[in-house]
Amino acid sequence: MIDKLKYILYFIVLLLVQALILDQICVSVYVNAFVYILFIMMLPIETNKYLVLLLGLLMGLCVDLFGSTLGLHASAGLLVAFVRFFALDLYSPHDGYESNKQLNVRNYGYYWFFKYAITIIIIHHLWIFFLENFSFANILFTLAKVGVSSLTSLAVIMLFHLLLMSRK
Amino acid sequence: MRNLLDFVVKYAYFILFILLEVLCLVLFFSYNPYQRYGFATSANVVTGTIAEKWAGVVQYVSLAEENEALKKENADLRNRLEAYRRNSIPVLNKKFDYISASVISATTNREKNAITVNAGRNAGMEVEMGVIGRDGVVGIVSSVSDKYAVIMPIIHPDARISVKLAENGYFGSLSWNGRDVRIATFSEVPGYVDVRIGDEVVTSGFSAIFPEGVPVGYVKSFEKDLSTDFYTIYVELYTDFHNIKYIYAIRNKDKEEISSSDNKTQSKK
Repeated sequence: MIDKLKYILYFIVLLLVQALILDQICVSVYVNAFVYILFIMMLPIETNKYLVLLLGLLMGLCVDLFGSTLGLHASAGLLVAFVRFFALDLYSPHDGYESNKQLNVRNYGYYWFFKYAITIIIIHHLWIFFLENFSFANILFTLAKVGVSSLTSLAVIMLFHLLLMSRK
Repeated sequence: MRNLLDFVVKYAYFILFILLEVLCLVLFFSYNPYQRYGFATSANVVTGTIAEKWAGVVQYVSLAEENEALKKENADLRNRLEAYRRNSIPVLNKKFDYISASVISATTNREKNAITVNAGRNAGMEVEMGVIGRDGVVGIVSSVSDKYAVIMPIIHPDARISVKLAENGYFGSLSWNGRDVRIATFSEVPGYVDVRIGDEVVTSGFSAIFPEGVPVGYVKSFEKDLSTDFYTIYVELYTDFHNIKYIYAIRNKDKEEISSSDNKTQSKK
């Protein structure tokens, strides 16, 4: 129960940080930071995978409502939830995941988290920016945006991951 | 048998993902920037209220600065009013009304940017009203709810604004290419026109949305397309989208007449 409340809190905090702070900052059109996907990344390993899909969709939909981009982040959140399943499988440690251990750097190490996070971030950003632009005419511009924004998102996600990580 | 079951379970998961994804993409691609109802945009009451509360906290810091800017604008308007009075031009047939609003949320680094403001249908806001700021044109109202409205700024790929060169009146349309929030593209000016760097660009007044002559920006650079003999003019915008605190939406009292006659002309074609 306490665990569920904790994840509801993560959901609210990450959504509000995304909508009220990150989306309002403008450094350049190349720099976009998306922290809301951290919620999907941090869901417990034993979470039902259908529930993960629905939560990804719900988070994306909420971000869309704040930014008037109906469908964009909903589809991306859903994609992240789908990809998470395979990314976790791909980077599974030798002795597997333990169900009572939160998916964080303390339990699985910085290298593991970095691989897991950057894979999901790059797939998410490619999806968002190509969908938003919807043309391959500006492919270099879009790829540059993906590159710069992925690094920005990685930094912000790392920061919030460390802030929100459970003490255990 | 177990393998088969596993396969079906995996397949069901994939099917569900594809179905939901298709649903999201349908929402995304069928999304019309001009929404009559604001519930599916940031004008909805939940996100609007949260953003407004938060903006109240954040903007508290810049209140003094904002006050100063408003005072300056007020003084400027008083001076102009005085000039009008001296020339004793009677203000007849006031065509435009202004509705003021504060910005509660604004994105500027996206491809499709949006500005949310704290005035909605109750304050008289309507879809497709023109929006200006202290320095010049900001955009067009794209959706409204009772209390909030979303503005499609010039820096949105679907925004088109009819503009002209203040110097000689040659007109065309202003759009944005997604690269730089300070620069918009002014096209359809024929190649024989004398365009100079620094020329002012203002609204043409041909659409019912903006009055004529509202400043937009100035010519930063231009190039001529030799095959079509038209200019592509890069306009540095006066409005600083990074730092926009309040706006005025423009209600055109004659608009209904104009747009209904527009519709008639279109249906004749």
